[in-house]
Amino acid sequence: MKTGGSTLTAAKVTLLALSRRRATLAILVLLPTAFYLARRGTPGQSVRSLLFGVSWAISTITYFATVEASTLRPRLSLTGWKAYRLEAGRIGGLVISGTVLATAFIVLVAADQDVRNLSGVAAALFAAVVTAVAFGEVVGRIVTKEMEGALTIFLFAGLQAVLNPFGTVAKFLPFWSSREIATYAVDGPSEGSLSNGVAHAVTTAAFCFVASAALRLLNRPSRNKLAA
Amino acid sequence: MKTETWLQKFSFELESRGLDPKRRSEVVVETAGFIDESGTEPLEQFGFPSDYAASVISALGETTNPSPPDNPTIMSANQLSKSYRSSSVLSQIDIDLREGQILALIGPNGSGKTTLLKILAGMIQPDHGTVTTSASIGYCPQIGGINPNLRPTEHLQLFGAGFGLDKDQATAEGKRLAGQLDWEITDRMTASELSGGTAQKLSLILAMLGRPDLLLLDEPYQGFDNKSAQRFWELLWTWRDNGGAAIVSSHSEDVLIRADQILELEPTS
Amino acid sequence: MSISLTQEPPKNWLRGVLEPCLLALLNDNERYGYELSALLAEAGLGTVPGGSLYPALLRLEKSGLITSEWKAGDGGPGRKYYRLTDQGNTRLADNADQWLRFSASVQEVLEQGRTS
Repeated sequence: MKTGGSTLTAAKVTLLALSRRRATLAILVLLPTAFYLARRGTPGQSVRSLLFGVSWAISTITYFATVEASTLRPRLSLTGWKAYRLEAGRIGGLVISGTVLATAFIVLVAADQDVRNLSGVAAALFAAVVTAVAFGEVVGRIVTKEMEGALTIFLFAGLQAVLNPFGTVAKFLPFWSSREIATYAVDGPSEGSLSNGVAHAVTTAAFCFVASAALRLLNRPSRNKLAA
Repeated sequence: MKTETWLQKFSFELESRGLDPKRRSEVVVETAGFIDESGTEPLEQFGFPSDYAASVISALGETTNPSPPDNPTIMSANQLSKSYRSSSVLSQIDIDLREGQILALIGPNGSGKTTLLKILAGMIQPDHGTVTTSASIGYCPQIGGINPNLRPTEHLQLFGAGFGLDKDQATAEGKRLAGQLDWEITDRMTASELSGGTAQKLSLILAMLGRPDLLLLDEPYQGFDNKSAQRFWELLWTWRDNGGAAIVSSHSEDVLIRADQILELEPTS
Repeated sequence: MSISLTQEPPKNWLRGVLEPCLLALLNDNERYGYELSALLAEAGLGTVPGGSLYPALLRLEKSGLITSEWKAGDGGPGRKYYRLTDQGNTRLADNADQWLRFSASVQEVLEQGRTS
């Protein structure tokens, strides 16, 4: 086995640790379900509400996984673990669990609603998962105190919910993309734009992951090495 | 105290003061013979094992530092200082640690022991001064350092992966170290379900897993029972005899006689 | 304050003379630790705990006044026997002279105290 750890091991460990958080997992499922049921009457609102719940739940779980990992990260670096493999593995593990959850919700939506474009809903859910993981990751890098971190995510998610989605400010919030893709999928291209949504999701994820990596590198102390 | 326990403790105490194995066994056998023949209690005849060991060492005129000072330097720190929000935590700390040495880091709460260890581990940056080392480092923090939701062997696998150990190798090495600390690893519980002392053992084992050159241990045996604490020192002495080095912070007084070098930190302001 | 009713002299008296006494006991014979302890008690010097005896022997050995040798015991791990060296012999003679002068002085002072 090569030194420096493997992304696969990091992903596996992330999934294992997550699987032990039974109560957290229950809330992860309950929160989007409750949001969905609250608006079950209309396909568009119910799907958008579901996506909002998924984004919020997954970013919060990612946040806690990131903070939890940060207590191990310095020790693991000393053992030779490559930081980027740890990060990639954790992000991968979280995206995988989010995707599993998203798949279940696609099945739910397909059975429960008459939506115009089901694959569009799938794309919106996947965008929600990826942007939520990216956002939770970068918040975890900046805000290390758990209560404050959870409130920070609440702040962004709440703003996303109350701001006019067609306004400029809403477009600078992390969860705008999945709503846009969902509107496209449910109400048609006249109402929402797939390409805008995808572009926003990709930009948000890239921005968050790059910012997170940059912060990691910035906070890395340097040390003088003994001459051999 | 049973004679057997007393003798065992006495032997450890002699070892901790760096008496070579041959002399040690001679002294212990002779002492045992006396106790046997006089038919009395060791405590009555010799007092506490640690005190008697100290007087034996003093009578022998042995130094308590067995590692030759001309061993190569494994880590040096020069004039380290660190402040948090303009209050000074560390001020002008110098360290010269050689291979095969154990340095005890002592001082009251708030004297900067944890900060110093983190600086030495390269986890935080000092405001002034430099740390020079090419050693591989194992670090055991005072709190945290394990994932509450992972089981012991999952930790071993994760940490082992950093060194390139596969799951079986990491588990075998971890179990070997655990055995030396009187702990048989079972995988029924996650770290959060382990007792405080056992979780601490796990954390310690993770620091030693890849046999790094230098161990940085922050209060490593806090929460250990006496026997486990003794096992910890035995493990560390073996480590040192194999050329490993360690810096151990502790509140326990026993660290003073068990280490080769002492660095006392004082609260600065 | 309690007064000791035992026959043993105060412990700290022995401390100063333990090493010369050990040299004296090793003068004619090689002996082991417990044997020395028993001989001292027999001579009326009180019980010498092992914790005082062995450090004294180790100091004497380190100073080259005595040497030691392990001899096999009956099935047991054996005993360490101590023996006087030439240097120890010289020291014993010196100590004996010193002590006799010293104890004569002490005796004189004590007798004066008692009669006055």
